[in-house]
Amino acid sequence: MILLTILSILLLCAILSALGSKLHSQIPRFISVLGLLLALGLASVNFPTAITEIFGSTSFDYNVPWIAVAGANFHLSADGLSLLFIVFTLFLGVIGALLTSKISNPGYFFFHYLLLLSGIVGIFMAADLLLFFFFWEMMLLPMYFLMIKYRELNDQNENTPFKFLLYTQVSGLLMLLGILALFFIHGRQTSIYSFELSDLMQTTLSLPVAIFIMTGFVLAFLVKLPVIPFHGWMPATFSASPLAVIFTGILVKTGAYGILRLAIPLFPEASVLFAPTAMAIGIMTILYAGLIAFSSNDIRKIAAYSSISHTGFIIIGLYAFNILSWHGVIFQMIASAIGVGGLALLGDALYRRTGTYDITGISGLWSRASVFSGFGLVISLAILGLPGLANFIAEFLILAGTFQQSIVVTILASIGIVIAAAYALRIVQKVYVGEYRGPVELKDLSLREKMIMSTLVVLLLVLGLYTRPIIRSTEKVLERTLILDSSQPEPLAPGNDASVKYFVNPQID
Amino acid sequence: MFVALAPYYIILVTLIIVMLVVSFYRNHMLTAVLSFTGTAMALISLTNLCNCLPWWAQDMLITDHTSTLLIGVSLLTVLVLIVTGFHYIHQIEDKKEEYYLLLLSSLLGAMIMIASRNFVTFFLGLELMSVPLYALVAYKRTQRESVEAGIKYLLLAGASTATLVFGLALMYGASGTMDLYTFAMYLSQLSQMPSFVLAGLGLFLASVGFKLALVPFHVWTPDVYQGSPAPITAFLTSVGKIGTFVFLLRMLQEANLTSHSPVFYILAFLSVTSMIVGNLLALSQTHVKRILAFSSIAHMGYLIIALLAGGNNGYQAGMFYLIIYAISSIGAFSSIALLTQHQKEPNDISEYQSLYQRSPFLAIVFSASIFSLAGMPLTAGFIAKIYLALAGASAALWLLVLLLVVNSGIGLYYYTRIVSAVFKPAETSEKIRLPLVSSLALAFIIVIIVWLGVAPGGFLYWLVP
Repeated sequence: MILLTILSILLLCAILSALGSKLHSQIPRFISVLGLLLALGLASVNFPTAITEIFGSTSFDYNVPWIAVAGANFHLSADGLSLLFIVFTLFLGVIGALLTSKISNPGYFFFHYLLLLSGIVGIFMAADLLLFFFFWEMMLLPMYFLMIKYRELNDQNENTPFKFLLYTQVSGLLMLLGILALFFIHGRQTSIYSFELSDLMQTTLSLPVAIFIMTGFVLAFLVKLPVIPFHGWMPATFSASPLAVIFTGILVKTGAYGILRLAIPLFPEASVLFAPTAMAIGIMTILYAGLIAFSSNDIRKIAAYSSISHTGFIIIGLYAFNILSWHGVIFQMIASAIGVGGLALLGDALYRRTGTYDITGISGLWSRASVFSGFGLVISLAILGLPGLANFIAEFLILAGTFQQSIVVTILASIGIVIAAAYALRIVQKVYVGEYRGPVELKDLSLREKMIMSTLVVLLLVLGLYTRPIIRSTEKVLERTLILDSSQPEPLAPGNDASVKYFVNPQID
Repeated sequence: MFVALAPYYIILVTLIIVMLVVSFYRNHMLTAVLSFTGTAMALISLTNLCNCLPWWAQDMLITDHTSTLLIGVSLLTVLVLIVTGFHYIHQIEDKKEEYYLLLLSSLLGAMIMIASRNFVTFFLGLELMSVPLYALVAYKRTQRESVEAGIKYLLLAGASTATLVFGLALMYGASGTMDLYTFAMYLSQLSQMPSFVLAGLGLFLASVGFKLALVPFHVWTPDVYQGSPAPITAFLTSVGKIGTFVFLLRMLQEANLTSHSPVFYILAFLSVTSMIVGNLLALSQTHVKRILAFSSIAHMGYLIIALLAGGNNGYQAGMFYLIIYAISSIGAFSSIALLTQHQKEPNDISEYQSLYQRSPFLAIVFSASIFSLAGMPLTAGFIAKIYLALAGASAALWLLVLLLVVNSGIGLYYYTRIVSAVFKPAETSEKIRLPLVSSLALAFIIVIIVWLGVAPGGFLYWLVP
């Protein structure tokens, strides 16, 4: 019921803010922040209980028939992993809502905004594959509507929302084919026709069939992440709307969640076979996106490609089949969203002050806007993975886990960190230091911007220094998934398990 | 017996009353209200039927779950069209009232087709539906393209009727029966289909293909859709196809025709070509009605998958898809009808620009309908498409399901282009005022689209006979 309540709060507030915009232009924002905080509170309160639960049969499951004739249920469930992402999504949602003060048609905006968030939250809750697909596709629509309304009027790239919808929909349809195939194969084997994730995990698949079906799933997730051959929509999204930042931070993480929750548990053997390819894609993504980020001058483009480069680490970590690297993946998903989100926010703030996104167009910001530049420096350092900030933990854990699988991959991926340092410091060098070049009047960050930026920075710091809560909350889930993946290349010895705790936090236990 | 045939009688009586009223006292509003009341009463009389199903009238008409449901949908469609089309017809300078006369007789024909269980009634219904449509398509007599569409439709429909009669005659010649069920029994006794029957079936399928606008019998569609008044285009896409489709469905199911490989391959071929050709041709269009015309070709291609899947799954998926397609296209064309001013329909995609500024409600209904046609989630079209894919997959028609999925992706491209334009802001925009009754009709459509898109469970359950 709690999960249903969270979803209903979001949907109800969506409708209320659409209706309330007629009364006063500030009402939609007020309702949204209130609803999001309420949902965030509900999710956080239940967080401790969720950690010990098993996905699909928890004490707060909500399961009613949905399309009964087809065997699909409206089944919501949550364990530590999904609730962590729900909390994180809602948190970013609050920040996004706070940021959006002056916007035309607030009712339209917040209606779609909350609809989008409820779609994303739904993805993390769905324990029925058809329901998962429903939420998966559902979140695209509000995103699309936000993009067509709030793209910049002078944007030359008319097709951005288009590209986004086409890429994600078509890949989603491939996943649908996979889901249907799985449904019927399982139905024939057991004569139980069900879309339930826990049922479908029992399906025995011959390897070629498993590879075929897995391809459908993985393609959908890789497009959403996105990794290099499928990344076309992502930089375009980033340049379309300043708010896309917040969305993409959460939106793209659903892809990684999908791989961890569906692709690997459903197709363990096929996933192991796919691992070398995934590693290659990951390396390519890290290096290629990093180089583009280094060579571009548009700060939004740098943010977009740095985000893509980070997803390369996520892919490598996921397919290393190692508890250490999986913990790193979770960290990377959160840290990258905060870091890249912060960079894009600063880029937007820069544009409002100087009228340009071009980092070669201005310099020496430190002498005029020291707070701005200070935050800019911290964010850049976070992106390059400075120890003490969350991104470092993420990359370190991923590389430490991958090292046990393949040294070559680890070495190649480490080069990515060097590139990250190069493009992150390039921003610092061009924009913040040097002789001042820019508009005559330059305001520093406003109080609201300061508060939002400091929240992000504090979060990066806290996660970088005190990692235990996150490790704790997902530990059980990840271990279970790893055991399910029976054919993992190198099963971890019991002693190895302790190494997790040692690497991460020597004092515990 | 009277109860079972009540909807037909009520429509017939309404038809006569409207005819008499028109000959003595011309008043657009009065005629519309009369037609609306008659159709609404026919719809209400349908609810009485549930107690006495199924029921046969002299081997001619059959009243069962399927026919009741689809006649209900047709009546509902016409109700919505009368309301949303009123404004449209009002812009025509003279002779507005005959429109309702023709519409009602065409509706009666469609109802007979839906309920027919005999080749004769089917043919009768088809003609009763088509002949008024020739006039309706050309109803904007002063506009060249409307007249052109009328002539094209008349000539080609005439040719297809000839094909149909010839096909039916051949089938009668071989089996000695006009009755659908006796014919089905005759067929099921045969191990190998005689070429005589096969030729008859081929001609029959060609004519059905023409009515449903399947490739390669589709060439008339874009021109006729473009030239017809928008409410009539809506009628053509929805009611105009339901009758033919249902007769085909009954015939295939009763005789288990898809187990005969020639029939199966003919239908599969029609489905594949319609899906691909319809979608590809729609890609390069910028005229919204033409886009919807080509997309309707593709949609009929999808529907054939349900026929090929057969069985209970195929039946349910087909019925659901047909109903959802009808409702969605009614929503889209009704919006076009309401956008029409001074007999000038918005044609090009660019003319839909900033519709959201001009009338947010109309924009929402229009885009919801378009997205439902595209099969986007939260709309009924999404569930319908999933259901169709399920039916196809359950019969192991993987190639067709794959094509369905790929073509949905292609379809997304042109549907999204329309919706993008609707929400694109423009500098100058004058507000559109919608009549209250039309708003109610549109609200009804969008409620159905969203309700069936989110919680279709109850409706799907109800769909099972």
